[in-house]
Amino acid sequence: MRSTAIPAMSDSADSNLIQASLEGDRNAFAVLVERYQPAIFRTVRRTLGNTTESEDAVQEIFIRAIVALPKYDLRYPFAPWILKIASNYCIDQIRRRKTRKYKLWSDLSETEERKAIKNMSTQPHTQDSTHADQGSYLEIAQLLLNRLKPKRRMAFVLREIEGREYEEVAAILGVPETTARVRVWRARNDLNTEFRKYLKKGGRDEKAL
Amino acid sequence: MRKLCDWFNQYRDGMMTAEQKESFESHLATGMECRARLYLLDNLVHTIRDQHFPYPAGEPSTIADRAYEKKGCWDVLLLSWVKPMPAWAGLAALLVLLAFLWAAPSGGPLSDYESLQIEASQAKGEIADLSDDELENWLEKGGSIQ
Repeated sequence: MRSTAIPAMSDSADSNLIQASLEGDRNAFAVLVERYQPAIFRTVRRTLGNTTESEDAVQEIFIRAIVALPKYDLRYPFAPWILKIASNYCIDQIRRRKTRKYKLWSDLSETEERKAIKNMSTQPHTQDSTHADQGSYLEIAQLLLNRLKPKRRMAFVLREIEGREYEEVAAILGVPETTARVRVWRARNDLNTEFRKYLKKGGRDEKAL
Repeated sequence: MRKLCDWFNQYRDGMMTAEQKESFESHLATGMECRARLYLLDNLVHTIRDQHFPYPAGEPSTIADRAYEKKGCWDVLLLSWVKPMPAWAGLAALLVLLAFLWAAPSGGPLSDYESLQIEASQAKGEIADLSDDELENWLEKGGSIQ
């Protein structure tokens, strides 16, 4: 399984930057931002499913990080620590937006939509899927992902989408490995259940999900 | 005994022996439901993973500057001290405690009726199981212990 690239660097390089950031060196903190921003943005974007919201989220996550930095233990790696802040932020955001409505199927015709729904569970994934397939699949995928409970969604993104090991997922979420595993398993089951419900309704009906 | 379908997550996570994997894969060849589940998951995961989105426009130095500016703001500090979940949990615990204190017996002197009820239940265990009406009748009749 592919893993999201976290910048490869020695812990001591991070430690020096963190020490300098704690002493008020903005340039040192900017280097940390530069290193971790892409990974954080990818995780947040995949979890929240919205680019503008994710850009704001990255800023907010680094504000939370600088506030919490004095509590950071230099003996541990920085990546899981900052991703933990990011995952907590995402969970908070998902909880807050629970009542928001999303416009679905904006660009899909009914035929395209029906075809996409059918194909998604009957055709295996191939590298040469057409762009049209990808577009219609994406709407369904995002719709289903949005139905997951916040903690399960976060665990699912870290494990399935980003391909991280359970140990890493657990460290980021701040839970035991078994809890991380249970969340991912439940998320998979929930996705399947939601998809079946949606299939029964024949798509299009937003209330179905 | 577990059905083969129940092993879906173990299969997905590669937690199976070669033998288990083989039997699950032969099940996949015939089991439409599990196969659909696998295809759905694969398609969903790859679609989201391969999605192209614009790279964040924020310059690291701008983000760092803004973070330092906000660092000392009272609202940011307050939010960092008062975590939402523990705050709600604390409030809920306080409400439960208040409700308990409000509903708990006052601890003052017992009424005649309460004293009789205790006496009766001590005298004969069965009486304690009587309803209030039955207990009143029993007391009106003299409350003799047989």
